Amino acid sequence: MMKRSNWKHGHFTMPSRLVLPLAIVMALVLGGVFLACSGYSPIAAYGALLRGSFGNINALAEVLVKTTPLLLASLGLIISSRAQFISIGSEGQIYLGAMGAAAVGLFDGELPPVIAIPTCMIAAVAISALWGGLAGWLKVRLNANEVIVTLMMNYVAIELVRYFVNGPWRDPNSVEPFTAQIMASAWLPKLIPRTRLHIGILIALAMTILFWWLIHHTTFGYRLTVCGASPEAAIANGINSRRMIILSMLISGGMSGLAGSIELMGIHHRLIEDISPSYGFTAIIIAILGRGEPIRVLFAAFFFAVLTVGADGMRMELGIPTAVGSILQALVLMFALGSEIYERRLQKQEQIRFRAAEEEGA
Amino acid sequence: MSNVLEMHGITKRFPGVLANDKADFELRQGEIHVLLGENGAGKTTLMNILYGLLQPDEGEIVIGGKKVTITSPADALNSGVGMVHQHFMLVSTMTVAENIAIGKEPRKGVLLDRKTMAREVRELSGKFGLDLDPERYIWQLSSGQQQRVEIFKALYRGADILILDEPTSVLSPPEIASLFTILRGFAKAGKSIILITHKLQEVLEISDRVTVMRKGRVQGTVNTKEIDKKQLAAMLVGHDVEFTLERNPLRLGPVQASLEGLTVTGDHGKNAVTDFTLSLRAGEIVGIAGVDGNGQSELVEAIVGLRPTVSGKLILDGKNMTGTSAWKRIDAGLRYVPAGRKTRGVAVGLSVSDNAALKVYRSRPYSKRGVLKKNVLREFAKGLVEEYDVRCSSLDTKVETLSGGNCQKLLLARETAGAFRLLLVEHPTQGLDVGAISYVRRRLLEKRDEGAAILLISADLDEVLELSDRVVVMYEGRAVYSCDHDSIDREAIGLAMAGLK
Repeated sequence: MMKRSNWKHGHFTMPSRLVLPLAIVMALVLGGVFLACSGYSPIAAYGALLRGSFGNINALAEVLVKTTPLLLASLGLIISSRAQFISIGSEGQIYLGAMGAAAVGLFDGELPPVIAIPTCMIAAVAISALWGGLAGWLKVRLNANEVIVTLMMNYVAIELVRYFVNGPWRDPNSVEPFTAQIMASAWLPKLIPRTRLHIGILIALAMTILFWWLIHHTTFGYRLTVCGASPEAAIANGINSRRMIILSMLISGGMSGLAGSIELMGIHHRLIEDISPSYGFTAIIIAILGRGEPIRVLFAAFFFAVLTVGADGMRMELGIPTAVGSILQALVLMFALGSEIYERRLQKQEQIRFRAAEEEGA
Repeated sequence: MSNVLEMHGITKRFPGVLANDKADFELRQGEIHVLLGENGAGKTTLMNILYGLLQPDEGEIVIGGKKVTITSPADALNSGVGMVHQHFMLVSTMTVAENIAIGKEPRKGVLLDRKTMAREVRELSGKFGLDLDPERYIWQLSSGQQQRVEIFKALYRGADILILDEPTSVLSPPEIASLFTILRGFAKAGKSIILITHKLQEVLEISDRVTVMRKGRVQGTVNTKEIDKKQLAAMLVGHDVEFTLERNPLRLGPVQASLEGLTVTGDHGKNAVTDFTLSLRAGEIVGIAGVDGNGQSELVEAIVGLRPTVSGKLILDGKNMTGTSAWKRIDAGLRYVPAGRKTRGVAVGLSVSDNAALKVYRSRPYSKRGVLKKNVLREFAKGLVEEYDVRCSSLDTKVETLSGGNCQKLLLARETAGAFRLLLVEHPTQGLDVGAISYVRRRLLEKRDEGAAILLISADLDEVLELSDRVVVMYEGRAVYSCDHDSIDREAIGLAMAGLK
C-alpha cells in the first residue's frame, strides 16, 4: 500500500480520526466564548472547573462517584443500540433497580455482606432486566415503537418508586418521603475514607472490561455486531435478530438496574424519590459518543462526570450557575454529532484515495 | 402518422457495463409502443435517459422535430415527457388532489385553491375514465388506484408522451384490464405511450408496435399485428449460443438436496412458487432460467429460510429441513451467495475479516463454548483473501470499500469454504466487470468439479446456459421446462420463459 499524503493540491485534509477530539476542543472553546459573553473569564472558569473536579482527593472521588452509574447504564445502552434498538428507558430502569435493591435491603435483620450485597444487586438486575426485556418483547411481538414504549415505561417506573417511598415503604420516623436505611451489611464499602467514593467504580470498571470482551471476543458479541452493522445480512446469515433484540434489552435493562442499585447501596443507603439526577438520559448521550465501544464509553462517562462535578466547582468559586455545566455537555454532544458528518465524508475520501491508489497499482 | 419522438444512437456506459449500445427508438403519435427485453437488456436505462434521470454518453433525442437536451425530469416534462415508475412516489398522508398538485398548486393569494384543484382533478379524471376521487387519501387507495394517480400526475403536468415502467407488475388481472382500457383511451386522444415490460402476453394485447432490446442493443421494431408470441420469444432470447468456458465431463454424486412440491406465498399474498420439485446431486450445477419476477427470488428465500413455505418439503442431506430456521439450515450445510451482495451478503460497516467469519464463527476451531478464537479466524480470513485474490488494503478494511468484484470474490470464498451440501447462487455476476464475471463463473465450475451441488439463479440467460448441467425454466412460479446441457434448445427455452410450454 502506498503511503498517502495528506497534502494534495495544496489542501490539507485531516485524518478522520482527529475529527472528534477537535470537535470537543471546539465545543469547549465555544463554551468559553459563551462564558466570556456572560461576564466570566473563560480561563478562570475552566480553571475552576478543573480544580472542582481534580483539585483535591474529594473532588476526584466525586467525579468517580458520578462516573459509576453513567458508565454502567451506557454500557448497557451500547448493547441494545448494537441490536438496532433505540432505548430511552435507562432512567426508569435505574429507578426500578434501586427499588429492587431496596426491597431486599429493607428486610429486618442482618446478613453477612458477602450475601447481602450480591442479593440486593441480583434483585435489582433481575427486575430492571425484565423491565427492559418487556420493551424488547413489545417491539418484536407487536412492532411497538421502542422510543415511545421505553420513554413511557420510564414514567411508570419513576412513579412506582414515588408511590413506594410515599406510601407503603415510607420511613414512619421521618418527615421526608424516603424509606428507612437498608441493612448496613448491604452498604458498599468505601474505597477512600472520608469521601463518598465506594467500590462501585471498581464494579463499573470490571464491567467495562467484561463488555469489551463480550463484544469483541464472544460469538454473542459477534452476532450483535453483525446485527448492528447490517440487520439484513444478519438475518440472511442465520442470526435471529428478534432474539438479539430481546437479549440485548435484558442486558441493557440489567445494567441500568445495577447502576441504580449501586447508587442506592453506595451513596444514599435508602430509597429516595430522586434516586437518579437523569443519569439514564445522560447515559444515552454517552452511549452515542461511545459509538458502541466500551473503552470509548468509559472515557465519555468520565468526561461527562468531570463536566458535571466541575460545574459545581465553577459555582462555588465564581458563582457561575450550574446550568453552565449542562450547556457545556450539550455543546459537546452537538459538536460530536455534527463532526460525524464531516468524519464520514473524510473517511469516504480516504476510501476513494485508496481505491485510486489500488487501481494505479493494479 | 408522424414521429413525436426519435432517439438516435443512444449509448450509455456504466463502469464495466455497456447499458445502451447505439440504441435507436422511434415513437409515433397516438400509438402504444412496447419496449420489450429481459432484465438488464437496457430498456429502463434508455427510458431514464429520455426522462432526464441519466445523461447519454452519445446520441441525440428529437422531440416534435426539434433536437432537445434533457438533463432533468423537469426538462423532460417541459418537452412533454412524463414517466410513471414501478415504485410509486406519492405522499400517503395527503389526498389525491394534493398529490397531483404538488409543485403546480393553484393558488388564491397565499392559500391553496382547493376548490379549483378538486374541480380540475374531477374534470380531467372524468375525461380519461380514471375514476379518481380527489378527496381520498393515498393510503386508502389500492395499488391500481395509486398508479392511476401517478398517471394523472404526468397528464396534469402536460405530458404528451407517457412512459410506464412495468406498470402491470403491481396489479391484479382486473386492474390490468382497466389500465389497458385507460391507456387505449389516451392513445385515441392523441397521446403516445411507451410501455416497458417483459411479459409477452401483454405486448400482444395492448401494443401497436414493439421494440425488442437485448444486451443494450435494439434488436428491431415490428408491428404487433404481424408477429406472434413465438417470434417475439425468439427475438427476446436471441440465437447466439457461444460457450467460452472449458467444462469437464459431468460426474454425478449422491443427491444432496431436494425440493418436493414446494409452494411459497409472495409479498402480494398470491402463490409465488407453486408445487416446485427439484433434486440436486453432488457435482452438478442446476440453473433456473426465467424472466425476473416469476418466483425465483421467493424460491431462494424459501430455501434459505427467510420465507415460510405453504406446503411441500425441503430436504437437505437426507434430513427434512422444512420450517426450520436459517441458522439450522446453515448447520445442515446450506450456503448462499445472495443477489444483494452488499445488503444481504456482507455486513457493511464491518471489516473484511469479520465478514469472512460469518459462516464459520460458531464452529470449532473458530470458536469454543461461545468464545471466539480471534487468531484462528484471522488466519481463516487471510486464507480466503489470498486464495480468491480479494484486493483489499488489509483484513481490517471496511468491506464496503471493496469493489463489486472483490466483494463477490469474498462472498464466494466464504460460502464455499469447508464442507457444504448445497450452494445457492443468486445473480452471481450482476453488475460486475468482464474480468470478474469470468472469474466468478470459472470458480463456480471448479466447485462443481470438486463435487459441489450448486443451484444457480440468474436473469442472464447466457450465464445459465453456459454454466448449468441442467436448466429448469420457471414461469409463474412453476417449473415448466427442463433440459440438459448437451441438449440445450434455445428456442424452446425462450418459449418456456414466455409461458408457451
